[in-house]
Amino acid sequence: MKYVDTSAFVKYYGEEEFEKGANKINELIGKAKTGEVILVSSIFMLGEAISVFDKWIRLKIITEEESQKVISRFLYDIKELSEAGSLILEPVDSILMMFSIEFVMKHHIPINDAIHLYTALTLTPEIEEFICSDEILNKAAKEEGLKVYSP
Amino acid sequence: MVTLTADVTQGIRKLTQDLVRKGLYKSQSEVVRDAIRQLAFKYGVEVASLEEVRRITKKAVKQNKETLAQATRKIREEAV
Repeated sequence: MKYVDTSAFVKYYGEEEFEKGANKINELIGKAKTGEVILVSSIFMLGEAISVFDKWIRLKIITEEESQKVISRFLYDIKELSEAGSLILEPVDSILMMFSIEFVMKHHIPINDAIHLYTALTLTPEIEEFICSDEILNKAAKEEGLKVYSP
Repeated sequence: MVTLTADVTQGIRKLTQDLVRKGLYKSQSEVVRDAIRQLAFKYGVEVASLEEVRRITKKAVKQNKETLAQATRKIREEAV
């Protein structure tokens, strides 16, 4: 089982040319779609990824219609992977939030990072790899003893 | 708009009427339209191809001058 955070998962929608590591994530999600790999993340990933895509409308970079296409495709992939049992989305509850706050203060990271980190740690030792493309979160994950892979 | 005629059971008819009565939809036609849209999503019909989505994100990344991973970091920093 591999934990995938938002910064890595969104690379699935990029091309290697402008998104380093996109090919590796493409391969990983391809494996998940065939059941070779089981991925796990926080339900928080949905909100974060959609916020990234939706922000482009606010910045007038893409149209509403284009944003709809990207978000629908993302949600469809999430649904497909979840229904196949290849993606497990862990809920965020009040206990998880309280413990995540401790990580905010310990590692001086934003709450989003802390939620991903704490969620992954609650699943160890089942989590063999923490896949993340964010230096700040990766540093904290390493300090907590997770095996980090940055695509 | 075009008209689509379909045979349904009394149960389905009552279900659509109840959804309208509860105020979730304005009309039974709207119930049917939404049900079809959800079916299309369920089976991936009309969901954009990965190639098309990647073309859109490429344009956004180029204009925004930040990768998808960097954009995620910004969202996290903004959330604080």
